[in-house]
Amino acid sequence: MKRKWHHPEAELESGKRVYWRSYDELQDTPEFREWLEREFPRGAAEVSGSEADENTRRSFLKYMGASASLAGLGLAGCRRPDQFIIPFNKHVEEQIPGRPLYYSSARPVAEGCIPLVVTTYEGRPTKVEGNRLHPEWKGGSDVFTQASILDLYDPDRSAAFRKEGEVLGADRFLEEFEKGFLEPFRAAKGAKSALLVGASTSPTRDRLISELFKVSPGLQVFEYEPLLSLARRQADARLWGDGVSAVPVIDKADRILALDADFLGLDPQGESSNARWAARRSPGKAMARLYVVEPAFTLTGGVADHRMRLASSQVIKFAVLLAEQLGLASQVAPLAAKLGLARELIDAGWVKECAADLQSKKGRSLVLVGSRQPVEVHQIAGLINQALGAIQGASGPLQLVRHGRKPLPGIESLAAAIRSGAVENLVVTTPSDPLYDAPASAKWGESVAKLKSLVHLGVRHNATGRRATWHIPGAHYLESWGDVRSATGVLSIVQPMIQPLFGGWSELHLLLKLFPVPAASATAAAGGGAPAIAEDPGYTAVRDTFATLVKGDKELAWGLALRDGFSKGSKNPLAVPAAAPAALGFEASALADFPGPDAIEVVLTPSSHVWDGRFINNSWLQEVPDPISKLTWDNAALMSLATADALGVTHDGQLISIKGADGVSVEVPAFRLPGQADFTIQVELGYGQEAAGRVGEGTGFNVYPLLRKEGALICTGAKVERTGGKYALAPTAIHWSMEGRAIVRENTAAAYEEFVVKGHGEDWKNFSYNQGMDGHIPPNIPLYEGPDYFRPNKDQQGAPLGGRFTVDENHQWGMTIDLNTCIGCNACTIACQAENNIPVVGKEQVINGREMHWIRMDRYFSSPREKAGMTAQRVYVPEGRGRPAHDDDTVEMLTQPVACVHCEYAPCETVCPVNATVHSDDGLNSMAYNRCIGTRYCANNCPYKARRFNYFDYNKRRTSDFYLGPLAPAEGLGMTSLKLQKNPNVTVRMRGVIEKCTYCVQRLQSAKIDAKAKARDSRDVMVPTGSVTTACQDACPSRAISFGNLRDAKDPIVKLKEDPRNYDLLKYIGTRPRTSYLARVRNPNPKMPGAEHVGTGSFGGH
Amino acid sequence: MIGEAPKVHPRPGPHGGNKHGKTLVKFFTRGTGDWDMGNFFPRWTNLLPLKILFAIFLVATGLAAAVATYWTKGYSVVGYQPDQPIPFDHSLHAGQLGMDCRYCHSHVERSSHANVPNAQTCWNCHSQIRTNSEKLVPLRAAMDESYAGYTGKPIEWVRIHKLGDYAYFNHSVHVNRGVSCVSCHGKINEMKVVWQDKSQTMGWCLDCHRNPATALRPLDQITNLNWRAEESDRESFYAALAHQTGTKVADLEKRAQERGFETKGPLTQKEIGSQLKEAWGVHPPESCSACHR
Repeated sequence: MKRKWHHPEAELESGKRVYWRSYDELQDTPEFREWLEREFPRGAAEVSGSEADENTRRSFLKYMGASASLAGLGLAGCRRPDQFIIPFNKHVEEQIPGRPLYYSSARPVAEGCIPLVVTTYEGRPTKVEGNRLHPEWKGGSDVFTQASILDLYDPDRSAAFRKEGEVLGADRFLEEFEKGFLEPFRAAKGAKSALLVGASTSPTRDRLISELFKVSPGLQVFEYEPLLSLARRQADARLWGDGVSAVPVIDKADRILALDADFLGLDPQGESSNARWAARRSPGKAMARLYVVEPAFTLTGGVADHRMRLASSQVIKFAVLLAEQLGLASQVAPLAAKLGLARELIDAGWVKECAADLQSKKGRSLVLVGSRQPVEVHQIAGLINQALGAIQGASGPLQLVRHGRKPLPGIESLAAAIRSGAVENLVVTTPSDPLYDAPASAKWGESVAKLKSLVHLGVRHNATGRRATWHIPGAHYLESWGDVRSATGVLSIVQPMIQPLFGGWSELHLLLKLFPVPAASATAAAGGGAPAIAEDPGYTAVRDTFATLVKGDKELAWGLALRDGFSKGSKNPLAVPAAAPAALGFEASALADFPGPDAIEVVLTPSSHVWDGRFINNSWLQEVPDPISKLTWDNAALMSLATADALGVTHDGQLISIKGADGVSVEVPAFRLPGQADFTIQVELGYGQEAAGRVGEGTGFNVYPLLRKEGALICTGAKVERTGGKYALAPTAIHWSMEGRAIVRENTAAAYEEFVVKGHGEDWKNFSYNQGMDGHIPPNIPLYEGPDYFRPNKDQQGAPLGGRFTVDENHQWGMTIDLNTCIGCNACTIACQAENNIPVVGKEQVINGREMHWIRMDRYFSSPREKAGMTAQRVYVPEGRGRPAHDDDTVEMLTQPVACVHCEYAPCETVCPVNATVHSDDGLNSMAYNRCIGTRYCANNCPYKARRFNYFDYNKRRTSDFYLGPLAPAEGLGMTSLKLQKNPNVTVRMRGVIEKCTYCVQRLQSAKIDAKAKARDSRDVMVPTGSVTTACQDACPSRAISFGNLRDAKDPIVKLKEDPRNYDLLKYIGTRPRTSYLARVRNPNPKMPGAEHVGTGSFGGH
Repeated sequence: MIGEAPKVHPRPGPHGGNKHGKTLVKFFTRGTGDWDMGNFFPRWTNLLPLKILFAIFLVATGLAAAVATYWTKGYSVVGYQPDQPIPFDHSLHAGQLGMDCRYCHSHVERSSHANVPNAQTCWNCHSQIRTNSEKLVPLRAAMDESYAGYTGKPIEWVRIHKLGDYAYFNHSVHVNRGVSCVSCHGKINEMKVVWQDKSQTMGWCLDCHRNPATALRPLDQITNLNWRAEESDRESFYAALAHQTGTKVADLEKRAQERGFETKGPLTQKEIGSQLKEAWGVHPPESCSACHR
């Protein structure tokens, strides 16, 4: 019988907040209690369902007999199998077997790029990190970038050249493509032909397209990706002129108002915004303040100091009200006249105080608008920003960058051109999949049917690829040459790390093919005398472009650009705004009424898993829990409790049908989340694809039918009803729960001022250190003697550090995670997965609670505790209503990544019967996988629930094959390419083994080894300060994670550990964790309505 | 006893007989009552089960002891000496010709992996020397474009030393901190065909990690596989060490004496090793995470 030890409950304090992860936890339902009282969730340890059917006793005997006979066979061949070492014939430059090589590159994204450093082992890229040298980014990346490495090795990637669906060899395809498409195209000089490209800032692509126009004057070029902000481009053009875009520089702003703009999350704006925002959140120094108005929680809303939930379609009314407060009433008058109920329904006090606060920091205030908002909102925000003085050349928080690119017409114009017969041949290179994601207005299916030929270049053989006359497998960005400019114009070269695995072409390669072939090289192009290893034609094109963009020694500049990952001095010039903005012709599109039960607003958002659908077959992204809803493998219709009540939704996963204003209907499971505007439903795009690949097949629901017009991501007037069906979702919000203890801590900037800045003595402990039980820690009487890693024993003079224990005097590792800057984006989780060969387990296993992520991103909601009717630690539950009385208007969100905290007195170590988990001399709680026998005692005894168990051979099998017997082939079809991604310095774990965070021990060891190898016969073996980083630390876009050597006085970690915000998780149980956390600080504006509730921290603390 | 009838075992009858016989017979004649017909087990069989058990015990013990002794890496992998595609003779190259190990294993000081040389490395000399040797056919096939059998395919050397996939060994840290090639690979310079010389088990690794003094030697002797502590010159060793560490010879000798060395006569590996361990601060890791990650 499992002993249940009830932690003492801390006193409750009025005016503080309660922290919870799900409605079940808030209500303390029996299901929730059952879930959390087991060391592993129900089902995780038991055979059930299909498993029981497969593994009957009979089949077990059968397998046993079979394996016994096999063992007999095996003994006959007792010889050791030969293994070969195959060195290169000729040495490869720079290559040292066993040592990684790092190259700079960049991942192109729609409006810029993420500059990268790519780790390669013997020619295969295994990991990407942000480029710390880049002047605008200085390191960090995002979740999609981290996961993009898996796309490279995706066995379901398009690997074949196809003509009308039939697979042709590359040579034969080229021959037929030349005759069937390229020659007619060149002969017609591009007449009746069009190019549909994705958004890109590549100078080479721009150059090639403009040169292509010269030789093929008939060619037309269009651009489509479903999540581009056409409205922002339009507004920028109107306000600041053609070829100019407004780029926010977040660290220059003291006050930020985000209008439906998730600029820290899925709607990135500017460059390195997370890091810049984080830099301005140091308590004690002038902290920036963030106001957010949004329909549903986003990562940005989660870190806001003040947040208003407001339907997306109503944000324009907020903008008008704000403009009025800021003295722009005359400019917005045409819209103001139509505000309707907004003056009553939008909290006027909120708008007024927010406006006053923005006004008070004139020149340092910034208003950001989300991509999906209509052009009017962008324009109003532009006016406000100008009125607030945000635009001051290079010193203001909003910079007008003159990039000079001309906007291209979109897919609607293209479709019209096709239907009118003006376009008969189409070349599609956009990374999106128009047959799946084009808006209804384009009538894309119908239009495509009119085409004579459709050429598709894509990394995925998606719906468009399947429909195409000519499908060309695309090259991944890690396989091809390219170039890209960041949002402010810094030029980076995209370097290939590996030859195209499946022989794909880059976009530049295809564009070059469209050019007329010079007579001399015509035979070469036709395949005659092709060299053994094809040179990427993009290389020459990129170098040619580069030569036109730099001055001076071009060879040197090229070398430097490749080495550093950017070209110095390539930033775009800033534009000077007109003194008075041009008169704004508001189209005054009818302002939608507030949504209600009969006219629901549906907001289509980019997916945190699959973006617009392009990552559908990326299992890392599919499985990483959504930062807010914690859903994996699916999308769902997120709604508030009030909306759910009105629609009759009583349980998550009940299917609802959403009927758009013009009758199109989609079916999606409902999922209830706090903090959402009522009668607004938010659904992620990109799911429910038919041509998805083996990972993405059957995941989620397609809501693109609701996209009626290009960029129309806010759909009003939808009718929603329950269909009666149910769908099993796989949320992880209550997995690995830590039972409502003061795990996550926050307080306000005012409290920081009071206790830390002005406090005396131990006052600082009142800020966060003593929250929860930590004010009342009983004396710790350890049963076992352990080493002290930092102080020599006083009784033994001259004895080595650690007494009779072996302790490394040079290295003791430690980590801090700053909850103040962590926004919960999951980049660390995926980076850890890439670095440490962590497998995915599939939806079924996630439902069983078996996900393997070493870093779990805990997401907490908090709400102010009500004074009356409280149960211990729980908020008041009104009689009979069956749901908690938390208030959607005051709910706040916090995120906290938790991995193994490397306790100095680790409870897991004492219970392992085989010493598979022991302490290392540098303070790591290490796992020897080859010793582990899988008792799982350690996981049982871990108070942080940081240990994960391999219930199956997750690394060897596909998610569908786990339940096959032991004699079934261990490797699914085509898993070989995925092996190439594995980090060679980390053991790939097998079934029956516990694993957990190791502090990236492989990096620590190689740093220590390098230091020793360098020391040779000297005693100087300490790892140089700051030279070793963990994967999560590298990936974090806001630098929330710090890691270092606690024995190195110069290491910043030493100072961070002394920060007054520093606290340990579950300090009172005396485990002395090496990972500690820095409490979050909110910076509410005391004049705002409801400010007294913001960020007041949890109970205890006195 | 005299006069008594000799005690013979009575034939088992329906009312007598020894216990075993009775049981056996009863077993076979159950239900018939006619026991005479089933008496085909001679008496000696009565102890047979015990004897068999004893024999099994002996054999099993013997087998277990044999397996425990011989089915270990010390016996199963030591001496593994596969045929290589080119019968490369280390005793000729590293022994007679005196080539340094690092001429071919060029990255051993920088990488975890002591690389097997590229074919180009062999070709540096063998494009000139013994170009027509039968033994070098795979090399010519890989490198010599004028050769009729040229394939350009790299040479497939058979791997001899192999650790578990879960063990991460690093050459560079060992050779840079005073552990010679010979400590783990034996006298390669005397091997015509290389074999595995040491068991390279975890216990064997730990023996040295716990007592590094048994292996440390001056850094300029790492690739000298014939070096012997006993042949080193005491004075010059101490002089060099004193120079390198900035101490006096007398102090070093005093420390050695404290540790029980006589500091007279020929040097020993122990003395050299313990001096170097202290001078260089060598603390080989003994934590699991040092090699398993």
